[in-house]
Formats: sequence, C-alpha cells, structure tokens
Amino acid sequence: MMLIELKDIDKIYRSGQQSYQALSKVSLSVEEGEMAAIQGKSGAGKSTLLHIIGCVDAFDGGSYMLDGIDVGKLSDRRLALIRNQKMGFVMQDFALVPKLSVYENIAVPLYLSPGAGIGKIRDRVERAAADVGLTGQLGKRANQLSGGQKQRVAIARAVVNEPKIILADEPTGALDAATAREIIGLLRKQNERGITVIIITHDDSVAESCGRIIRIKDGKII
Amino acid sequence: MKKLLLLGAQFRLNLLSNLFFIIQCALVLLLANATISGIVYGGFVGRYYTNLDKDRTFFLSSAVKNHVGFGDSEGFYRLVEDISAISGVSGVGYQVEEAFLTGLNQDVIVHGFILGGDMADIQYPLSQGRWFDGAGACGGETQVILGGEIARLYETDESITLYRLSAADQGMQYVPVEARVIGKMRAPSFALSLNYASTQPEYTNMFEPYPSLILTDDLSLVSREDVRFPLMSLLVFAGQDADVQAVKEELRRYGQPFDFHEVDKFYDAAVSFRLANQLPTTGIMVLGILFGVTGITYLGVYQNMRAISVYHLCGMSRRGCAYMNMALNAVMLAAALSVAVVLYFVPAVQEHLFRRAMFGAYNLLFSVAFIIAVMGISFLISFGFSKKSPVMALRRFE
Repeated sequence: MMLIELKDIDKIYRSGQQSYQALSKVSLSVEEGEMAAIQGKSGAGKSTLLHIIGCVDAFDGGSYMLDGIDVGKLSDRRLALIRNQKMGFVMQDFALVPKLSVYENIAVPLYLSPGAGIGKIRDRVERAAADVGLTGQLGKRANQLSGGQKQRVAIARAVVNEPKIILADEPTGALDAATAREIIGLLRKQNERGITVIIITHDDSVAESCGRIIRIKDGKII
Repeated sequence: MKKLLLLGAQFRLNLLSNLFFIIQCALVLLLANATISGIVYGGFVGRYYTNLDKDRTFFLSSAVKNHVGFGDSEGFYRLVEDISAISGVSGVGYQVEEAFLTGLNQDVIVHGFILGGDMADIQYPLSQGRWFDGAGACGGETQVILGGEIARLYETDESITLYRLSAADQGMQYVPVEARVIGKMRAPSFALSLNYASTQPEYTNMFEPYPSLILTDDLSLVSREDVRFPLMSLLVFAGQDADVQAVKEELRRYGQPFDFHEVDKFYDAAVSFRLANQLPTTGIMVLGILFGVTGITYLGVYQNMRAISVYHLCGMSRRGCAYMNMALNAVMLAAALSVAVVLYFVPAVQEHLFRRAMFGAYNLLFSVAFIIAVMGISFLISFGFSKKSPVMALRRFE
C-alpha cells in the first residue's frame, strides 16, 4: 500500500481579489520506506507540496490519502495529531526555538504527544540526541550551536517521536558541503530504518543520492 | 503537565516583555482602583452613621475656631453651654482626642475618642456588641468600643486595661484605666473629625479612617483642664419639635451650620468634580494601557510566532496555538493581580495610594472588567492569527 497518495491536488493562494494557483492537478504516490527528492526552480510549488504532504497547509481540490486515512476530511486537531505522530520536519532555517535548550527543542513533539509519559521523555530525547551525535550538548541553547549542530537537533526532533515520514525542506541549504554530506548521511540512516524521507533540494548530488527524483514546474509534476 | 512545561518555556522566551506587561497591568489595577476608591469613598462614609437624623443634626463648622482661644478649655465648655441654651437645641456633641496604651501591647499607641456632650447619641456601625448605654458617662463602669486592629485582640465583655498619659506631681506618667469592651466597630473603622472646618463640608474630609480606634463616653477619664477639645467644629442636635430653620439661624452666630442633607449635596458635587477631573485622566490611562496591551499582545504574538510555528509543525493545532497565546496572557494577568495585591500591603503604597481606599463592589467590577478586556483583546488577536497556520502567518510576516 502506498504511504502517501495525492490525486489531482490543487492549491490556490488568494489575496483580496487576486489569486495564484500554486499547484495544479498534482498527483503523486510515495511508498513506505522510499527516499525521494523534489526538485524544481524557485516558485515551482515545492514547499507548497511539502506543506500539503505534511498536513501543515490545506488544499483546495483533489484528495490526499496518508497511510490509508483521507486527510481532506480531518479536523485541524486530527491533522495536528498526525503531524505529531507520523511526521518529522527538517527545515532550511532549522526551525528551532533559539532560546530553548537542545533538550527542550528535541522534546517539543513529546510535550505535545498524548502518548509520551513525562518520565519517558528524558530517555527518548537522550537516545535521539545520541543518534545524531549530540550527546553532551543537551544543556546548550539552540542559538549557541553551529549550523550543522542545529540541523542535527532538527533531525533529532524530527525522529524523537518515531514518525513514519521525514519531510526536509532544503535541509542542507544553509550548510557547507562537508556538513551537508553529514546531514544527508543522517537522513539516509533514518531511511535505512524504514522511515520514508522526502527532501526538497536544489543540490543535484543530493537529489541523485535519493532513490527517486520528483520534478515540479509551475505547480505541476513533470 | 507537559503542556505546562511548554508554557513555562514559552514564558521564558520573552521574559522582558512579559515582565513589562505584568508591571503595566499591576500598575493600572492599583492606580485605577485607588482612583475609583477615592471617588466613591465618601459615599461609603456617608452611610456610616446608622441613626443620623440628617434634618436635625448640624455640623457647626468653625464654631470652636471662631470662639475659643487656644488651650482655653473653660472657654470651650462655655461655648458648649451657650449653644445648648439656644431654643430648640437638644444637645451638642464633641469629642476629646486621647492616646492610649493598651494592656496587651504597650508599645502601640491607640487613638481614642472620648465622646462628650451628646456625641454618643449617634452611633457608629458595630460588628459585635452594643452601643453605649450612658452608664459609663454617669460614673459607672468605663465602657469602650474598639475598632480596627485592636478589636481583634479582645472579645466583647472582656476587660481591658488602658494606660493614659497624665500629668502628675512627679511629671508625666501612664495611669491605668480599667474598662469593659462592650462592642466592636464594623471594619473599616472611621471616626468623625471635628478638627475640620469647611464652607462646603463633605464626607470625604469629615471622616478619617483609623487602623485602631477606641471609643468611650466616660469623660471622667480626662480632667477639665487636661482636655484636648476639638479645634474647629461641633455637632449640634435640634429637638424633635424644634423649628429647624430658626435653630439654624441662631447657630449662625457661632459658626456655619450645615445639616447633613447639605453635606450630602456637597458630597455629590465633590464626586462630580472629582469624576470630571480624575476620571478622564484615569480613563485615558486605562485606555492607553489597553492600547499598550493590544500592542504588546500583537508584538508578543509575533515574537511567539516563530516558536508557535515550530510547535505547530511538531503537532500543535491552530486552536492550540491560539490557546497558548491566551494562556500566556492569562498567566501574566494573574501575576499582575498578585503583584498588585502584594504591593497593596507595602506601607508606602498603602499610605500614599490607599489611605482612604475602600474596596467594594465597584473595585471588583472594574478589576473584573479590566481582566475581561485584556483577555478579550488576547482572544481576538490570538484567534485572529489562528485563522491561518502559524507557519503561513510567519512567512507572511517575514
């Protein structure tokens, strides 16, 4: 069964009298355990597509089945639960809370998870931090870290609640080549454990290292 | 519990602006409540006497000041007798101020009034016990009524030893006086001040609050030579059959007589004046603070937006994000209320802001209205932002 099935997805942004069609009849299927790259020029609709897959943004037409669930019919609260339980996000600007500690940043999905008992949070955070090589950094504030360390924190946060999918929007965009390779290596490690990884990237070498490349142009898959 | 941890972390993120918000709200709660109390204070004290006959009781302003020389106690008693002799006058009231040490705490001086003449004919409101029955004034057991803090230390019908500073051959010494507590004043304890004169007397200035107060009608506690009679004014009572206007005309020879209906009118005029002067300033201050609160809430929502967008990504719903903002404001309002309450008990704040503050329904009404207004602003702004996802909202801001 496909983990992600998008059929004829439309997304229109409206501002007053003006409207802009960001996605037009986009259909896409991703199997569980895949590692796929999405490529396209700026403004092609990559981030919009990622946000829809990640249940961050709603769509205006079509259907979206996620792990057998019709996402289009869910309430905002249920979508939030899906993001918490099934998704992990890694963003270009790291999307960390700068003044919170590494520990607190990694723990955010657990604080929001109905299933995580307060006694187990520390264990899980420490395991996730160790997995990305951040043992010993848990007390530092996020704004005290280097770019590569911040992205490791983001990856640790993305996996701490054992999601099915990691969505990465230009995860190496703000990093040097060597650090970028390390980050992609960590994402691949998660994929080897069975987590589906979808990466938006301009970097051809990153895209080619994924099992599949999805190209998007002017809001359409090509 | 987990959500509380997140709330705590979120509060820390904008600690400085949050503290500023708390101080702002605490100040408006204190200052606005002080203004409201000051304006309506007199209405409370105006209803303080329970059996004041407003038609037949006169505040004779400046009578003592105009007719009695400083320290001339004999002259004072002559004045009282002269006024008592006016046709239609059934009594003259005055009170002697005294300072007592009490048996339980001899370090504390308690203000006392010895009600002289017919002063005890009008009663202060009591929470326990009874008013004077005249026995004390007639040479029987000395009766006292306690008010304020000292009332907490004694029970009704309990004996109390008071110490009065008195001149003796060896110099000044404290003389013990045994008395019985027959009643306790209802809090807060006010007493009419006869060391007051005005062409437009009104309640706010006529009544003084006392932290502790002792009343007695036993004039034998003071000698005629040792009396500290009121410096300014007297109370005069007209008989039931008296021609009130005629009595008033006669009283004009001694001072300015005002019946208590006139005092009511002066009070109403004073309140209107105070409202006209203070309310706009206070209103502008409160409105300004509310605008400030709106601005800080917008700023806070924006400052929080980055963190909130992260929480949204990690699984917080849009409504949850709005509730997070509102919860932060609610916590800060609660902190502001606590700060205001704690500050209230600081002596300097008490003395300068709340010396005559009365906290009643109107203060509660204002405080609740202010809290609702702030939470309402917070609700509108937070839920306004929640219409779009925080991630989208943040992208728009940036």
